[in-house]
Amino acid sequence: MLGGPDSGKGRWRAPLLAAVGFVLAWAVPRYQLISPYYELILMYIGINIMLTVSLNLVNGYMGEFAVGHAGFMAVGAYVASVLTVRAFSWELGPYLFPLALLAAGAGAGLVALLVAVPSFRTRGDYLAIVTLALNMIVKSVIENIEAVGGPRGFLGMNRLTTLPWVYVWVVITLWTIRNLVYSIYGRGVLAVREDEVAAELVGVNTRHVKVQAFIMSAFFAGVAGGLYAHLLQFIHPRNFDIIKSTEILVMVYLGGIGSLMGSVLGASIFTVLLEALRFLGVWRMVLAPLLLVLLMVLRPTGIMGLREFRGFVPADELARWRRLAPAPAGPARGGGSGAAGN
Amino acid sequence: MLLEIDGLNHRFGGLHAVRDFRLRVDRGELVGIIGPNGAGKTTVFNLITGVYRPYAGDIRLEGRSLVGLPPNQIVRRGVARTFQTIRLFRDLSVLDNVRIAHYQRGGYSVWASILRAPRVMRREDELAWRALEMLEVFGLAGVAAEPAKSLPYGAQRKLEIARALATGPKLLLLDEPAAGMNPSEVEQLADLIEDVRQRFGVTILLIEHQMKMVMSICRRLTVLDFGQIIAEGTPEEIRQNPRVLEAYLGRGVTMA
Repeated sequence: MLGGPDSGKGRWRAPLLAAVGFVLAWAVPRYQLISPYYELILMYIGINIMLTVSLNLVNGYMGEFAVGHAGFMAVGAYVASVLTVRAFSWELGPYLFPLALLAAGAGAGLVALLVAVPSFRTRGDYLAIVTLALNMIVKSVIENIEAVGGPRGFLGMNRLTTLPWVYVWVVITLWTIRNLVYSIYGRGVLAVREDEVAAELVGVNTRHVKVQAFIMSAFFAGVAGGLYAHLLQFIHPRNFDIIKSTEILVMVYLGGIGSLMGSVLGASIFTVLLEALRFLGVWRMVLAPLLLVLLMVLRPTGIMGLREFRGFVPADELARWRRLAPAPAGPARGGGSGAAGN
Repeated sequence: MLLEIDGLNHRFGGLHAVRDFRLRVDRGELVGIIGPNGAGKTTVFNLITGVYRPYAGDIRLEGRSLVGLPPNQIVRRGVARTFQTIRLFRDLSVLDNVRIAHYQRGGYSVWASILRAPRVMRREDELAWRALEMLEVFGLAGVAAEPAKSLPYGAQRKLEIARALATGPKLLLLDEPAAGMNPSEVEQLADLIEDVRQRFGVTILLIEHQMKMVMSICRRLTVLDFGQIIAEGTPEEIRQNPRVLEAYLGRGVTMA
């Protein structure tokens, strides 16, 4: 039966693995276990995982189609950079970095709130248009603020982003979104994807659910932007254009909608692929849009196709299902309704 | 009086879909709404549940007006429904379909859910338990982990009722629950509805085309035609009402 004493079984497995991972993430740069180049790639993968998982919450789990994720990333990147360069003293920078990142997330979340309230009155395609416009607006606004360098970009950041920091934030992102997804609020998100009218009529406050998910998604994109800025040490409005947003979309749909493991895979594979194909030069830029088209046509649900790796399901939820159905397949959480979810 | 509807009117452009609709439903009653296709029955349900905002008129549950509230608030007040065409969360598990209906009684905040506090896990255990108990009432506990779309048609209808009941309603609106069922299934459904009414102590408003079933389980009927009430009364009275016969079959016919 559901519920009962062994709910907590396996509860320590995930935190333990996360801790081992952290030790590794700390040891790699400390003892130079791999070349700085590979370390850099790992950090890019981490940042991309954050972007992918957070967009997946809105596009995959909730079935909306937001296309301007780089806009939130830009807000975060500039907020964090301005703080560490202008507001924080040089010596305190490394210690206040987490604060700068939180502010980056909060800034992006605030922008998301401003967009979400009017745009979620409408549905489907409208959100795509609104987020696309937002991405362009954010970019143009930054280009026109001389105080942050305008079109010339902004620099002066220290390289505060390190592998352990990226790792910690990846874990926080995955953990947060996982916990949300497997709660009543997450089921509200899934219900919105499946049938918004029915969701509302079984008591789900669909507007709350949508705004919450959108803000949470933007928050992590903002933090990812802050990490990105302090890795590159030079940011430019063009780092956050539609191409960047398209890349994030490709990572979401490549890995699979509605799946944390999918996003981890999608971000990892795409990042490595983009690096490996450096020799293609400018032609590399064709890769993302082309992949997106192919994915939509051939496999709109992506690699994981709405399935989830058991390690990413909370242990207490797994225990509930185990008592219910001995089959290892676990519960159906799928939705073959197409990647765009419209 | 649980439900009071007065002077309810609704228009779709030039079509006056519901005209001066009035209804009184007492606690514990099972009232049927019948009428030919397009008479405005489902529109009445959509008005009660807040899917449409009435053009004019008032709808009160336990004396408090529901007009202008968003649907999820009306659910919170104690109104649940099923749909004429099944609207399950098709790709989600049977259990999750019911668990979603617990949304308003989660008892923990978004922040607690993000931290997955022990309280959240205990509450989730309870909610899963309750959902499973509900499924057991409808004989669906064995398929709790299956996706809702994999269920046979009749079971999907039952799941919709289970999901509606999981919101903890005082008033349950059933929109043609027998549609697409064979005669023996209809008979079972009639028993199930009566059973639900007693077991959960809910008041039921039933839209149905299966006359035999409506006549057998409802003690009171309201007949709609072209958005207007043309008759009210017991099944016996309705059966003999000439205006009802006319609406259904045309002039000059008597019902066998």
